[in-house]
Amino acid sequence: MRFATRGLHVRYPVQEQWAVHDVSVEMVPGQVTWLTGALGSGTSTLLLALAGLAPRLTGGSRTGTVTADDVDVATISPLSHGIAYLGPSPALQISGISKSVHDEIAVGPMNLGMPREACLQATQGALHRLGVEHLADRAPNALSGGETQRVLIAALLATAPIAWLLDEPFSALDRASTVRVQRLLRELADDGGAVVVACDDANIMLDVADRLLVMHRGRIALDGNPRELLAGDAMHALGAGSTDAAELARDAGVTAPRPVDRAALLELVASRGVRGH
Amino acid sequence: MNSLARQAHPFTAGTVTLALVALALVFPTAAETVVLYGVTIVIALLAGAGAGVRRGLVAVLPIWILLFILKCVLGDGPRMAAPWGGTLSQPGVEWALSQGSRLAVIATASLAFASIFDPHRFLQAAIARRWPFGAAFLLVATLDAADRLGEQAHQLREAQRTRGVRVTGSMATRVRAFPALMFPLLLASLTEADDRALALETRGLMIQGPRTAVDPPTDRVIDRVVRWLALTCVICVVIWRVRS
Repeated sequence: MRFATRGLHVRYPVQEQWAVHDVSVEMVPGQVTWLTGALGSGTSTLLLALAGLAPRLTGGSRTGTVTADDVDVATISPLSHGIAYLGPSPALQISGISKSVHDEIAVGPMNLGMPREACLQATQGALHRLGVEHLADRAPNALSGGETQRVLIAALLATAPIAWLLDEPFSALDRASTVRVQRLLRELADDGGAVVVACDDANIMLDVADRLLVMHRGRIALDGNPRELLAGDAMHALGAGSTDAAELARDAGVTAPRPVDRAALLELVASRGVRGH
Repeated sequence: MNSLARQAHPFTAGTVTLALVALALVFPTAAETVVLYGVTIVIALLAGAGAGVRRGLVAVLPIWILLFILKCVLGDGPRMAAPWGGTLSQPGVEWALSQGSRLAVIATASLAFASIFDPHRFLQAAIARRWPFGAAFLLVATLDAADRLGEQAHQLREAQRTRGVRVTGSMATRVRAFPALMFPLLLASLTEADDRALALETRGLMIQGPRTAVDPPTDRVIDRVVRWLALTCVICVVIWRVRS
């Protein structure tokens, strides 16, 4: 699925400023597009607009166009068109109609009218892929934050979407779950899915993202290769963080382009002959 | 999990509840409504809904006390001896008993139903029967709202306690704490409505078209017999009332 915006402006009710300001961008299948920026930069609003949920559910107004495969997203129901949206607070997306995690994951396939056997297979497959089989009989509202996040991703996965819009999908995950979801996103994109992730953690997204969009005051300020942008100075100037390695190198006075991962940083340290005590 | 209600088809519990409520409204005298209250308690306990019986009692107790004072003690008409001495209004006692037990049946049956209600099984049954999903979901959401509100109220009370607001103790203390609990709860409920809309949209609950009953509950012969029996009972009582 190809997302395209043209001159997109989105504003929340009673706000004078545009949360998304004149954004024209395309996001193509087979890529993980990473959205980041300082707090309030508009990444979450852009995701909501791409899903067709802003301003339809949030209120406010929109000008410009947002299309998914040339269809205006404001006129479609996201899930029935293969668009999975995960918000920053997954607990709020629990359906409230299920007594167990298994049933919660089956909600999407059920609503899409998939055949019964396909529903059950998709549910089992999603439970397995997210490693949440052991939670299958637990009540959805009695899960921890990280468990809820994994269960919600599994619930979306069970609907076999072709586009993923994820807002901070790693925020409550432990290390092992983070690696699992990183791998999943990569596989989804490699299988031809369009994956758009809003995330503040550059360390997590570095090895996952194909493309980085940095937003600043509602506009897309930078658009490019993640490693190149993270190694430079532009992101820092916009209030967006880089990886731990790049930040450490900056603090040590290393000029751009800086190493963005641990291995490159260690290589730099070794090449400069710095030794520990 | 193995109570009668859990084994029964979800529509059976609903039908029995509606029948009990209908009978409570149709029966004219105290003797009938009091017996019906007894029957309601027995059915609820057999169904494994003891919590509903307790909640029903708590809900109607203040009304019973009020009815007793206003109708039995202060009521007009011929007086009868009270077991503890003094007198009570005879028509007042009859009125209080009939209305009190009528309310008790309605409250107990409804709360017992709510306590055993399984939203997933109900929706699965509704989808299998091709009921309008919107109507079925509305019922589920309404019953779920009470639980959610209770949960939010509990969280809010704890949050206010950590901020130093006294929320337990005497009645006066509780009354003083009321605004500090009520207004945030009201605001949270309004916000919740927006959040629920997002959940409905992103989880496909607003999609029009056929849905799949992944796990449809078995509609046993005994379930169908109980439902028809309840319906027949109501029809017979209505006919009897119309003729008498």
